[in-house]
Amino acid sequence: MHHGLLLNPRWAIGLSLEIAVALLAIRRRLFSELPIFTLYLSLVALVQIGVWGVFLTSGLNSRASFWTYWDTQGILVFFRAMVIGELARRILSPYEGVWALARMVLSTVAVILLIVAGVTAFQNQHTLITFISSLERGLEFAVIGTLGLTILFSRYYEIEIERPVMLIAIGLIVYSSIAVGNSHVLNNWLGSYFNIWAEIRNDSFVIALLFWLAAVWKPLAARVRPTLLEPAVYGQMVPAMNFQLRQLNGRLSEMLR
Amino acid sequence: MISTIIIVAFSLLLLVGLSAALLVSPLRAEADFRAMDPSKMEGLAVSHFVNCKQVSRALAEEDYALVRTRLPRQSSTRMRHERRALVRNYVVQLGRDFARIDRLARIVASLSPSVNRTQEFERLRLELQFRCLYRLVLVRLSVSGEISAESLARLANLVGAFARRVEAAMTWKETPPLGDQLLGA
Repeated sequence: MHHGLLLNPRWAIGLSLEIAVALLAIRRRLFSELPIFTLYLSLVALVQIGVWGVFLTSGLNSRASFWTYWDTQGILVFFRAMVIGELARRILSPYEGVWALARMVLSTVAVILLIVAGVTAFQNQHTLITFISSLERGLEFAVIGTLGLTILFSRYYEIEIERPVMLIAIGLIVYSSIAVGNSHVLNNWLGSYFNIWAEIRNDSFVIALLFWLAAVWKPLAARVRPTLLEPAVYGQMVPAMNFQLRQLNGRLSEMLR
Repeated sequence: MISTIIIVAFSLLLLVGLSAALLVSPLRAEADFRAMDPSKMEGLAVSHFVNCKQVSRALAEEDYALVRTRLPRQSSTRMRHERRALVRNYVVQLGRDFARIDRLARIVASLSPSVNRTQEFERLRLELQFRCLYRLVLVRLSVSGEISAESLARLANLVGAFARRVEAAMTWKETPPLGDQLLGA
């Protein structure tokens, strides 16, 4: 039996932190506000315990360990995507008009990024590792793109993001960004880089967990819905503003001639 | 060959970076009220466009031509610099007025139960265009220092008309005043 990385104290710290964050989230009744994220946190801890069990019984370099690890990663990536949907909904859905627009844009961007991820992975089938890491890199990139766009939407329309929700988003972006860079290096250096890759992956998840720990430290209050305007206000104002803006740009262009 | 590729790649990178900075960074005119409470937005009168007559007067070409013939060269040069500074300041203030109204438009869109996709994308495109043109006009002013009073007046009238539309919408008769609704949000 090869314990290798399992003896690394940072892995043990990571696992302890995963369990602590999941338990704290449940204790703070986060499931009433963010059920998918709470489920994801619980799943992360359970999956990690399960994967460790397989590693300890089958050894790190066994086929069973390999497939257990990557299968569970696939499940976790899927749940991370669901978490992003949940966060986008949490941030934008009280603003009905913006939410309808954002839903369409975010879905389109997510689908495009997923297709790109699939095509890139398909073209990188030299070895199983390059295929999986390309696919993972594409999926993480889709996570960053979709979440980044959600934050841009909220910034543009001046929609406030609650601090815990922002911390969760930052944690996801940090982890996914490091994963994208890490997979890129793994694709190029493969075996010689594998141990460093595994450590960076673990440490980046610990960083994400620290953000999530801060997020679940206090209970998350229910989202207050804003009082919306009459639909006629938008209908009267925005087309007129766009018209004026077009004219203004025309005048500015004239000045430059 | 490799050095050419590197130079081209670096130039492209520089161009993309500058374009991104131009589009993403806020206008100087926006900086002062970025942190302002949305509920107080309508309290901020859009006022600079109304001073256009005075600015146009200061820029009148016939006055300048007359003064130039009577004043010593040094004084007329100083006057030209001051005129340039006046125009620049005025354009910045117009940009500020515009940016303020634009911010209000975004808040209105965010608080609307439905938004029109085409209108929103168009506004985004026009805003980006405005940011570029506004900066280019300022660059032009810095370089050549000349802009006609007539062009300035037309620009000011546009911003003024824009402001009046917003004010009319804010006191929309079938709904409570926008300020009250924003405060309730």
